[in-house]
Amino acid sequence: MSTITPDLIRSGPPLHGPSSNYLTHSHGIASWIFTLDHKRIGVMYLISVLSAFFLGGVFAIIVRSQLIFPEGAIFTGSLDAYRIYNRMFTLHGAVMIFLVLIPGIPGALGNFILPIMLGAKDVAFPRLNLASYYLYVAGALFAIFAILIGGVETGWTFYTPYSATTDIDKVGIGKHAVEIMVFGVFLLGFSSIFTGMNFIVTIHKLRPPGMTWFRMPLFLWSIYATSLIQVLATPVLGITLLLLIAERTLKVGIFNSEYGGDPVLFQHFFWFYSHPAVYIMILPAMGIMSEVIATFSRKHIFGYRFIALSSIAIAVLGFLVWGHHMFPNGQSALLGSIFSFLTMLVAIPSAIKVWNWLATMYKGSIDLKTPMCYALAFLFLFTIGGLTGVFLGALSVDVHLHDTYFVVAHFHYVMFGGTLIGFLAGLHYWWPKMTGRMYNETLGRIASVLVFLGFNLTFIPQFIMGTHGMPRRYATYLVEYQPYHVASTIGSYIQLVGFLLIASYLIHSLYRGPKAPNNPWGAATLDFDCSSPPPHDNFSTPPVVADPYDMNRMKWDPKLRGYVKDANYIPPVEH
Amino acid sequence: MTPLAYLLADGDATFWLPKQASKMAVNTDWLFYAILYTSAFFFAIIVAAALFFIIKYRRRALNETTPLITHNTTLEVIWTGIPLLIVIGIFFVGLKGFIDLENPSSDAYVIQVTARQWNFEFTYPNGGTSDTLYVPYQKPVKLVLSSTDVLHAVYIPAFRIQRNAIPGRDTQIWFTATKHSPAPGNTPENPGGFSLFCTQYCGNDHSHMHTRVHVLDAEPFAKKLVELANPFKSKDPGSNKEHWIPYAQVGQKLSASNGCFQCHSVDGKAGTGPTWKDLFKSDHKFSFSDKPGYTLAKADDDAKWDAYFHESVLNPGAKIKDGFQNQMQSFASSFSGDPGTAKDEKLRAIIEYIKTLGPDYQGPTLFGKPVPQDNVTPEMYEIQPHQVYHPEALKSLEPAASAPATQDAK
Repeated sequence: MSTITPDLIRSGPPLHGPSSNYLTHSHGIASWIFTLDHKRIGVMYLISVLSAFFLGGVFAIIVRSQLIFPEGAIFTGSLDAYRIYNRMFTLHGAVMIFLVLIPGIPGALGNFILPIMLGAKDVAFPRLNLASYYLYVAGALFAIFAILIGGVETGWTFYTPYSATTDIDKVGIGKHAVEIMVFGVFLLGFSSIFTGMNFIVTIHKLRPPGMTWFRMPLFLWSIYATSLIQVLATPVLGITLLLLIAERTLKVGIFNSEYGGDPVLFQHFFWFYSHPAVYIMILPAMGIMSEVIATFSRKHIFGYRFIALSSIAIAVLGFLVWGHHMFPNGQSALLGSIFSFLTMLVAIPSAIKVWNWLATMYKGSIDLKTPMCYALAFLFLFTIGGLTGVFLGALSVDVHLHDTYFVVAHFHYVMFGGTLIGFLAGLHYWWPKMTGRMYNETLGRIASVLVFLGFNLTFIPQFIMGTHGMPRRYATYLVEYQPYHVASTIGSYIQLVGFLLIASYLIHSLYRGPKAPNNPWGAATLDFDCSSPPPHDNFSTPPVVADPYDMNRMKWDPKLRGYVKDANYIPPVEH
Repeated sequence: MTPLAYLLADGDATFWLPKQASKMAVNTDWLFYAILYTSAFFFAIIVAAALFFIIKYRRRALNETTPLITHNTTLEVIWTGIPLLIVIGIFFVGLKGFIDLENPSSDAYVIQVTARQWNFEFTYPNGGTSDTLYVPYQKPVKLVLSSTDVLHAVYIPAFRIQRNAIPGRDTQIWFTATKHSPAPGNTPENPGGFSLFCTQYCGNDHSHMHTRVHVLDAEPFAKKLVELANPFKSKDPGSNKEHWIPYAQVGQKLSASNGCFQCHSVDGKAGTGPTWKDLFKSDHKFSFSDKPGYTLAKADDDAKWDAYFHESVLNPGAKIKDGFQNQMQSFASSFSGDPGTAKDEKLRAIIEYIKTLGPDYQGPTLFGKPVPQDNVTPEMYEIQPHQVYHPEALKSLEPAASAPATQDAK
C-alpha cells in the first residue's frame, strides 16, 4: 500500500541537524529530575502515564475475567470477595481517569509538542511545569498508597453517602484509605490546573512572529480549549473533595444525610467538574486527529476555523451539561429538560469535526501509516461513542439505559475509542520526533487492527446487554447475560495482546529502530521542522511560520528517507 | 424491523430491547429505535465515505500534489444545521416521555419501596410487605422510594423505568403494566416475573440487590395482598380452610424478605454478620457491650437469649460480637412494638427461626414448656396462641409475665 518504507536500518551519525539533542544535552539522573526542559518533562510524564496505563489495564483485565461466569470467576461466594471486585473496578476507573486520560495527552504529548509546534523554546513557566509534574507524581503516590493499604471501593465517582461512610477497615490506616485516595486526586487536580495555566500563557505570550491565532495548528487550539476547562473546572473538584474529606474526618453534614447533608449536592459538584473533564480528555485527542488526518492525507485541513472554534464551543457548552448524569435521581423535570437540551447541542461541535475530517480526506493522498490507522479507528469508534451519547441525552431513553452497561460501553467508546486511540495516534505520530527512532511499521499496523477489533468485541456486546437491562458495577449477574459477558472478556484479551505488541515494538525501536528523519510523514507544522530528536532549545534559528497545513510544500527526499521543504515551491494564493 | 413493526409485535423481546411491558415503554422504545436508525444512517455515511476515500485517494506516489480545498461555508452550514434539527427533535420526543414519567396518574396505586443494603422491602396499602414486587395488571402503580442508608435505585427493564432512592428524601416513579409476567417455575432458578435491579452502586453486595416483579390480575393480586398482610396465616387452596403457619417457618420467610441473609449465613459461612448456624446457645464473646460485664453463655436460659436477639435486631450496636463490626442498621421501624402487636410477633418469629438453627434447640415452647415434637402439624398451632400471630387471642390468653420479649434492652 505504501511506497515509503523507512524500515531499513541505517547506521552512522544523524544525517542532519545538530549533533546534540535534548536527550544528550546533559547527563546524569539529576539532569532529568530537576530538568526545566519541557521535552524531558514530557518524556517523564509519558513514562508515568504509560505505567499508570499498565496498572489500570491490569485492573481492567481482572474485572473482565471475573465476569466470565455469572457468579464470578475470581471473587466468588462471599461479601468479602465482592468487595475485592468492587475495589478492582473502582481502581480501574480512578487510575484510568485521573492518572491516564486527564494528564495523558496534555501532560505527555502536549508538554513535548506544544512549544515546538508553536515555535517557542519552552513553555511560559518551566518551573511551574516541573512542579505540576511532581504534583502528578505525588498524587499518583497517594493513590498507589491507598491501593496498597487496601484500596477503595467507592467507585471512581466517590458518590456520597456511601463514600462518606464506607471503610475498608474500621481500624488502623485502612480506615483512611478513602481520604488518602481523595487527597491524591485533589493533588492531581492541582497538577492539571498548573499545566492548564502554563499552556494558556504560553499560547498567548510565546507565539513567534507570524504565528497568528488562526495560523496555529489545530492541536494547539484543542490544547488551548482543554486548558481553559482545566483552569475553570478543576477547582470545583478540589473543593468538593476537600469537603468530602472534612465530612469523613470531622463528621460535618455536607453530603451525608445522616448529618443533615444532601447526597445529591455531591453529584452536582462532582459532575460540574467531571463532565467538563470528559472534554479535557477528548479535546486534545481531537486535536491530534486534525494533525494526523491532514498529514497522512497530504492535504490542507478542511474547515480550519470551524474545527478550531468548535473546540471552544465544546469547552463552553461542556460546562452546562453536568446534570445529564442525574436524570433518574429525582431532579425536577424542568432541570432535566434544560440539561437534556444543552446535551443535544454539545453533540453538534463534535459532529462538525467529524465532517471536516472526512472532507479533509476527500481528494487527498491517503497513506495508511500506523498513526493514520489509529485516526481512522478514532473516526469509527468516536462516532459510535458520540451517537450513543444521543440515546443517553434523550430523557425518556436515558431513564431506561441509565447506569446499565450501555453507559459503560458508551463512555468507553468515547474515552478509549476516542481519547486513548487518539493518544496512540499521537504517540506513533510523534514517536520518531521524541525518540529519534522509527518503530516497525508493519507491527504497528497489525497492533492497531488487533486493538480495534478487540475493542469492538469488548464493547459492542456491552451495548446490547445494557439495552437488555444489565446494570453496571455488578460482581455477579443473571445467567441470561452470560453470552455477552464472555464475548466481551474475549475481546479484552485480544486488546491485551495488541497492547503487549505495541509495548514490545516501541521498546525494541528504542534500541534497534532505524534513525528517524526530521520529517518522516510530510507534516507542515513546525514540530517537524526541527531535528529528531529536537535540540535542547528547539530551534537554533527562529522558525519561519507558514500555513501549517500546506502539505504540498513538503517533498520526499529519498536520501534522507524523509520529507524536506521544496525550495522551488510557490505557495498558492489563499481565497 | 421498523419501529412500527416492532410495536406491533406484541412487545416481545428483540435483539435490542427486552420485553415491552408497560405503557411508557411504547414512547421510550419508539424513540430508541428512531435514534438507532438515524444514528445508523449517519454512521453508514461516515464509514462509507471514509472507506471510499481511503481506496479512491490512496497514495500512489510520494509527492502527489493535492488540491487546495480549505473550506466551504455552504457545506458547513448544511452539516451543522441538519444534525442540529434532528437532535432538537429527539430532545422534544424524549422530553415528552420524561414528563409522562414524572407525572403519575392521580388514581395510581401506591406502593412504598424501602431500599437498604442490600434488599428491597415493598409495603402495600394494607400493611403487607414483601421482598418481591407484586403489581396489578393494567392499573397505574406509583412507587414511592426511600433509602435507609446509601443511594440505591429501582430499575425495571421491562417497564423502561428507573429512579434513585435517596436517603432523607422520597422519590417516585410510576408505570402501568401492560403484560403479564412469566409465571414462576418449580425451581429457584426459574423465579418467574420481570427483573428489578438496584442500579446505583451501593457497596459490597450491590450485585445481589435485585428481585422480581410479578404482574397479577386483579383477583390474584388481591389474594396476594391478604397473604402478605398476615404472614402467619395461610389458606389451603383446595379446602379454602385457614390455618396458622409455624413460627420458625414464618421467621425464615421474614428473614429472607428483610435481607437478613445478605449478611448472616445459615450454613456457617463467614459474612458481614455472625452466621446464625449454631448461634443460639453458643458461648459468646463481645468486643463491645453497652452494659459492662454482660455475658452470654451456653448455659443461660432461653429468656436471656430471647432478650439478646431482640436487642440485636432493634439496637444492633448495643453489643458487638467479637470479630465483627458495628455495621447493621436498626430494624426498629419494621419490628419494634408492644408484645402482641404484629411487629413484635414478626420479630419473635425470626428469633424462633434463629433458635431452630442452634444445636440446643428443643423445639417450640409454649409458656416455657416444650411443645410435643412428634406429629407436629400446622393445625396444632391453631390452638397455641403464643405460637401464632393472633393479637386478640394473645391479649386474652397470654400471662403478661411470660412474654420474654419485654426484657428487651432499653
